[in-house]
Amino acid sequence: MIYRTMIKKTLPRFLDTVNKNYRLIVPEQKGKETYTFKPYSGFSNVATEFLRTIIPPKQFFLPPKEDLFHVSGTSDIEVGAEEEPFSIIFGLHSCDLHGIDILDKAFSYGGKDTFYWRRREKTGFIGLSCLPDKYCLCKSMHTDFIVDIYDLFLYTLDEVYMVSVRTALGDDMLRLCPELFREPTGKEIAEYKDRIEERESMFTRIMDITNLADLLTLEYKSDVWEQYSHRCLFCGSCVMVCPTCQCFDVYDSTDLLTDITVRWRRWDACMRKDYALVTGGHNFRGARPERFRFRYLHKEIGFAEMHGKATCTGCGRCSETCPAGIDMVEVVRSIRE
Amino acid sequence: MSLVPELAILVEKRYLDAQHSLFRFVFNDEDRRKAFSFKPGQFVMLSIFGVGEAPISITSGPDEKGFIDLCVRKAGRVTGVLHELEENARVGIRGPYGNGYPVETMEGGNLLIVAGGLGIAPLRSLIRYVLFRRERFGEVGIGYGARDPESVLFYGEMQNLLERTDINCMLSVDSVPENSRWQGQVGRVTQLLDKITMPLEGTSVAVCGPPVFYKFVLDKLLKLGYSKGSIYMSLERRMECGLGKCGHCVVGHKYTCIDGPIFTYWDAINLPEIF
Ligand SMILES: Cc1cc2nc3c(=O)[nH]c(=O)nc-3n(C[C@H](O)[C@H](O)[C@H](O)COP(=O)(O)OP(=O)(O)OC[C@H]3O[C@@H](n4cnc5c(N)ncnc54)[C@H](O)[C@@H]3O)c2cc1C
Ligand code: SF4
Ligand code: SF4
Ligand code: FES
Repeated sequence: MIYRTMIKKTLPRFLDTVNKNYRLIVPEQKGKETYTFKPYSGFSNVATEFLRTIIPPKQFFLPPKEDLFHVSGTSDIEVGAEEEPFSIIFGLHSCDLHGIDILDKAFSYGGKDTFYWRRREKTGFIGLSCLPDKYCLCKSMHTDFIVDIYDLFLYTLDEVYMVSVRTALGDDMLRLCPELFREPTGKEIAEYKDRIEERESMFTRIMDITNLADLLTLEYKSDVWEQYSHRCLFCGSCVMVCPTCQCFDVYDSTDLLTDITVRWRRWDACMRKDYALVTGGHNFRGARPERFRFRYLHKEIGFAEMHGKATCTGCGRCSETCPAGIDMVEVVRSIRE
Repeated sequence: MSLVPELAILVEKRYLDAQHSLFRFVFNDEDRRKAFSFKPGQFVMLSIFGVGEAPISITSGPDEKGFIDLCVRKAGRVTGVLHELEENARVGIRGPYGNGYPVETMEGGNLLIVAGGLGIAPLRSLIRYVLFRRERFGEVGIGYGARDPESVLFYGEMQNLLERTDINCMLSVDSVPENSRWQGQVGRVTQLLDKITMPLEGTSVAVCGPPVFYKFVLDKLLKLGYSKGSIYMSLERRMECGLGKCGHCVVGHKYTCIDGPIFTYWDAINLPEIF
């Protein structure tokens, strides 16, 4: 890996140049304290100090709703062509990059999901360091740092960004304006070290995940699930904002005039009542406590059993979003006690 | 391509009973027709365009090439419309999906097959696999239970099996209505298991049927002394993709669609929410 530094004031020039060569997507401020990923429309709209966007970057690979194919009574099955240009997403924090890594695994296990991968393969990432707020749980989930997935990663120092160049694509981007980048000095390296230490000491929220998989299994019948399920509204917000929740439903709609059927898929939530309902009326997870519990079990154990990694990246979106004020840290603490 | 089916034609429809019919499909594409191969216990996602998709076990045998037979119960939207389709109708098929029965492990040993109702659908494929290479198996026993004589699926084929001396096949029905003729056993399918005696060592047991059926049959098999690791069951779950992506079929840490639908009883009881 190569490391370079770039003067912070030159970031607009760099992003302008990247935008000329790729489709650039950046975080923008939306409401008072809300952020969202948008196509680049000039540097003045780019947010560089923000924590989490409302909707995570999964939207770019798994859109909330997406057409799979069209077919009519007589035609062949036609898969819509995806003519999107190569995209670069700027401003991804470590947790969201981990989230993409988890989705990559999920959409590869048992065979590649071609719809996910045809977009994912045409996307590069510029990561950006961040400082935690009261919702950030990444340190506990071991996702506060990342060494792969990205093409470039920018660590914010006082005057410069320390730039980690991970891939040839990252190098290509650097070479679009080589004059902006140079070798890090000893002083910058020292500052980088100080910053890491400083950041580590800023985490106020800690979730103890020691032997959590065992505990969740042992406490499968705990009253805790019942208690929380009375508070939960089953609105599914926590699922929609989660960078690693991937569930979807598949539908058909037919245009009566043209007789063309479109098959499409849409995000779904395991919290929904008929999520596990089968024909004949049997529901494998109908009761509220069962549905509430399932999300925790799947986040913390299910995926980890297969890929050695919990699917919670600690991004804090669910806790910040939940209208009932349900907080994963609190739930896990209740299980521990 | 994932999630995108291939066009197929319904070439034959055979009425089995008021709820079930046997449907034969062939792919439009001739190369695909030849190349399609599968293991007993695998399923396909059957599409009726404009209606949706449903996971259905392949009921033909893997040695029968060129077509796919599905035995389907009229249960809801997709399966309902399927029963209305005329021959030559266009459908979509993708697959085969799932792990299927571990036939390589089963070969060389004895095999006990226990089916309840529509559970015969995937097991019929396994039976056909066995009949095609009977010499590779030791003792073979088949117990099939249905509600009443009317609802015994594939009655003619079962009759042939009853007559064979190299297979110990027995049928039973829960009850026989008046004015109905029945020469087989009457009672629960579990009673057949007392009669189809197999050595406990070296016998694999393949079980498929509705939830209550599992409850009784598994209980009985354990009482008889079979190991949980030698009992193979097929799980039913809601499925939207069949590819391990949509999440709907997850049980514990497994995807029924790709890690299953065939699980040993031992594996199954280690998954929470199994029944
Ligand atoms: C591995 C497997 C093998 C199967 N094999 C057979 C077979 O050989 N013969 C047979 O008749 N039936 C079989 N089934 C059951 C069959 O899939 C359901 O009866 C069918 O999905 C009902 O669809 P529907 O649209 O007619 O019903 P509806 O109730 O109208 O379906 C509504 C929605 O629920 C979903 N859904 C409902 N029940 C199920 C279910 N059990 N599994 C998956 N999705 C469901 C459908 O995808 C659909 O989106 C099998 C199921 C599984 C999981
Ligand atoms: S956001 Fe909160 S209330 Fe809504 S489903 Fe999730 S935990 Fe329940
Ligand atoms: S579970 Fe909550 S904190 Fe964890 S990744 Fe999902 S939204 Fe973020
Ligand atoms: S059916 Fe979609 S994950 Fe199994």
